[in-house]
Amino acid sequence: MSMEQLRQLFIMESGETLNKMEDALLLLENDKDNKEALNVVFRAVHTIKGSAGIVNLSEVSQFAHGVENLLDRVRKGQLQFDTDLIQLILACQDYLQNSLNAIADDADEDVIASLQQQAQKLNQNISQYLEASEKAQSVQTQPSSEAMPDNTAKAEKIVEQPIRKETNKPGEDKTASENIAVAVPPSVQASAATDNIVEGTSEALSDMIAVEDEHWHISLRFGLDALRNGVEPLATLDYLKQYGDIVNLTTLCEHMPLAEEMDPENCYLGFEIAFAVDPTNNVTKADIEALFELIIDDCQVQILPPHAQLSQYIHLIQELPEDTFMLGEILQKIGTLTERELETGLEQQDIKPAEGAVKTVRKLGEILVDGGMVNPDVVTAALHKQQQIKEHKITPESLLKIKAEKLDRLINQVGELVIATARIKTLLETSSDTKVVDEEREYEQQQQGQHNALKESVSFMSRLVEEIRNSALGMRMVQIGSSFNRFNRLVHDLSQAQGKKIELQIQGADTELDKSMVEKIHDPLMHLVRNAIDHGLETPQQRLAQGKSERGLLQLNAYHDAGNIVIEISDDGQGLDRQAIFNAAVKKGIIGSEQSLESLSESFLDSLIFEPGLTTSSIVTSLSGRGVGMDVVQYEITRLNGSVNIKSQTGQGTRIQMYLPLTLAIIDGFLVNIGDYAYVIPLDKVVECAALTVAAGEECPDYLHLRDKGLPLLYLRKLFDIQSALPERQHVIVVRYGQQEIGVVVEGIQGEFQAVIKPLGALFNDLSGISGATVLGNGEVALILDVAALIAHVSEIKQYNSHADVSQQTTAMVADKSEEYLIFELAEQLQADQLTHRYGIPVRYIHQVMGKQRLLPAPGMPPFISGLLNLSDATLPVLDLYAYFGHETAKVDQHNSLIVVEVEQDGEQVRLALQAHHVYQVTAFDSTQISPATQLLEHWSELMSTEEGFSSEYTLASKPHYFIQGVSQFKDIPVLLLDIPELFSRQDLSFGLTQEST
Amino acid sequence: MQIHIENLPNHSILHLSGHFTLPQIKKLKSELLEALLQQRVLELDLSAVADMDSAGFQLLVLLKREAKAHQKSLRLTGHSAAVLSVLDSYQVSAYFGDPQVLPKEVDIL
Repeated sequence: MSMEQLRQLFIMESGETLNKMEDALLLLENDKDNKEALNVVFRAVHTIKGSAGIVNLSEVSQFAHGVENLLDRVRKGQLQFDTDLIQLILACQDYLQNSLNAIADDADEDVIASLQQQAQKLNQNISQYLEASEKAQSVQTQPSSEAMPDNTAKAEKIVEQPIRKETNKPGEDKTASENIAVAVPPSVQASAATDNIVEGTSEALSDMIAVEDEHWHISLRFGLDALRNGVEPLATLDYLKQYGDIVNLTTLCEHMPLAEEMDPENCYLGFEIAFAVDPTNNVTKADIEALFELIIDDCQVQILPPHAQLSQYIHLIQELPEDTFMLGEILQKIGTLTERELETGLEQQDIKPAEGAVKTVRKLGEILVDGGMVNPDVVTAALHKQQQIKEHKITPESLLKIKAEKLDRLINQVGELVIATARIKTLLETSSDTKVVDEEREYEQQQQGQHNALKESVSFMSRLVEEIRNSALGMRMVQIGSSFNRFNRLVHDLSQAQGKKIELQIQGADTELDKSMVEKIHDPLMHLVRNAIDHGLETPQQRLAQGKSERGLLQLNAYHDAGNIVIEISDDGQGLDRQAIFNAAVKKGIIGSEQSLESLSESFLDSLIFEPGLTTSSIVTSLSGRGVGMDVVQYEITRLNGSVNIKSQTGQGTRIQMYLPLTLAIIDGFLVNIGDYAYVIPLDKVVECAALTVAAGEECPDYLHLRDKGLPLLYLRKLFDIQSALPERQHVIVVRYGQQEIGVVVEGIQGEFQAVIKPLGALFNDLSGISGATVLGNGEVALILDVAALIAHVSEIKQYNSHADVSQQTTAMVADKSEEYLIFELAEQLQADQLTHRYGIPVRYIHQVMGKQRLLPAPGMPPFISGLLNLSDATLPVLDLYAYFGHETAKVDQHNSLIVVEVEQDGEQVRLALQAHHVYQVTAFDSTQISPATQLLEHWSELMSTEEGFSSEYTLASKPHYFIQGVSQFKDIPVLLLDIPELFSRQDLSFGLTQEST
Repeated sequence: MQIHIENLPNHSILHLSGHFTLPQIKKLKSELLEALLQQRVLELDLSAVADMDSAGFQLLVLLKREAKAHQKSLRLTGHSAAVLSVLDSYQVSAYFGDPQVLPKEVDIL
């Protein structure tokens, strides 16, 4: 792993660590004695310090070290948590987060400079606290370390042979119980942690398990010639004692040979030492190594800092000459390792005790029991505690980080698999139909048997595919909790800033939704929370005056509802000020001034806060409710295909609900059809189905009376203009979105269907009512209905005055009076200031549109006939309208298209091809969008008469406007809409018109 | 360094006096081992040991181990201040016959 990768890993993990730290700090604020939370904070800082050292971020590491010292004081009871201290540590946490961000983003110098300032300031504050606590401490007399010597005396013992303690052995000395009280103690030196990495453990950072003991561990082995060289181990120990406490020590002389071979002048001694130094002295590994400098030639020293990684100990044990198992026991005995740590470590290394070892174990075990050294309760408690901590630490290992795009690809592929499976199923069903017919022959029966077996396998396979699909989709789902928890801090900061007391309650934190969705809703959510605190919740005084509790309540809630996820933000504040909203809306012209406040529904007024115009500052000052940027919130949510709902009660509070889809690539659909066309309705939107019988000749009703409720009906047949025989029986599919229900009338129900959503091309972007397409088992395409848009459409048609659903779905549904036009450009725009020659032809006259075609020359034709177009069934003249209108002949280039138009003249179909420079698209204009051509007449005639190159022989009639039906706008450019029948009736064109050949 | 051997009916007592340190250690080793071989139960009286170092300590460990290996009993008695200091430093007093930890019966094994 390169340093860069390590760094990234570090930054990523630290982000999570810091989040945990923040949560714990906020917890501490309310519960200052919460040991567990304090430990989490401590551990977080500690981890960051160590990890930052590994990846050479010494500044971060040093800063964290300072914070850790501070926290250590708190842990030791030398400092008390108060609000200021928590604020300081929160600020430190912010600084760490910012530094990491800066590193991740490669921030420029300005940012780094400001960070350095920040760090300096914080460091000053920290030192103030440290000094204060030092003064306080000097008054106290009894430092805890004095208790040590008593305990250690009990543990004295030379170990000659491999030993092993029994589980219920007595007398873990008291250091063990101290470990319990203080689950996570001070300072890992970064340098030591680095060793770990260098020595090639492939573990991730989180993988490293730090041991609980807070002492340095020193392994000392004297060389054989030590004594002869004048090195006296006793003196070394005395020397060591000047710099710290030898908390525990085990003397080893395993290497002393048998009596005959033993040279008494040789030194066979070794020691395992638990060494304690004052943590405030910032002793480093190098400092301790320096103590052995003078005798380094005659001894081997290995030093492990407090809380070194377990793997380092295991490494140490393996490196030392003595028996692995015995050493392990020694380390355990002197309190460096706990039994659990040792077991874990040895298990990892797969080290088993030797046969002989077990026997000698007994002996020592008995001795220890006799000595009454171990209190079994203490051991149990210690183990339990450590187990908890370990579990906590091990969790990240079970998580795997993968790139989102890989997951997307998988989901895509699974989608294809679903389609393929559906296809096989359909094929199988079709083929089985034919089989049933020939049942007489044995051969056929055999086939039938095979067929059934195949059917069984396929159904098994499709079940598996469905499961794979679900798991694949599940992978993208994350719990919303982490997103919610981030608001703890926001609420904390804002309430501090505004002098309000606010309690944040989070519900449904385990509700899952798509990862990308979680990220996208964060900003709107933040906005809403901010608003609730800024405007919704009152100050403690106001609240008390109103008989509410002093502490305001802010709730974040998430839950699933009919295929949507609902995210709720509610407060028990003062609610919206409707009078102010009303006044503002009238001022903005959103509501006519003739309206009165009483005449409008409350929900309508509430929904007005989403109006963009209402977010001006004048509102915010006079309005004590929400308002700032609510349109942005709505916009964001709408973009996610969701909707926002607001409910407010004056004096009681406000609740805002956001309905969001689960954004899935595959949906469970309900397959319906009208005539030959298949449509898919998302199953989660379907409430129920009902039959609709309309007697022949009767008008189709607009409403269905369903259980005392009027249900508006939407006829897909009408909506999509499907011309087919109307069946006798129709079905009503009751669909629901948000709070609204409508009945969609279809003609056939096919049943449930897993639909893989295929997005429609850009061409269909403006299409409303359709959210996508899917491929059916038989290979045909079915459109997926956008229920929200359909409901919005119905609301619009019925002119619903209720604004309960403020979704701003602009329905471009084909309204009754509108007509579709094909927009095209007649000639190239030569100059920028020149008006483009844009025309529109009603789609109903268009026979077909073709690309550039080879035209037959047409001698003797007027200049506005470019040539003849040879179709399979007819030869049509090609009219160059540009020339016909009196300009020069249009240039022909690769964009050119031919539009074949067709009208009925005297009961016969007559066709003509028009040459177009560029065909844009089909768009709908309703009658209000079209102005009559008369307004253009004068200008037009003028234009025509001044044009040159006008053939006198084929002079246009003096009323060229006759074939201009009207003028509209397309993309802010005027479009002349051609009156095709009029064009066909022109005398000067009539010669060329070809009649439909029969 | 002087060794005075006192033979009693059931065991022998070796009275050590003077320096129990490196310069004398070779001589001490042979004499003490020999004494150990001859007796089943041996008592080392350390009350007169004026000085002891790591070499001396090692020798004590060796003796203790040999005694065990040969099923003999070795007891240290009357530790002088110098001896106690060493045993304390090495945190091994329990190993050398602290009766509370190793009762006589066990010791004699």
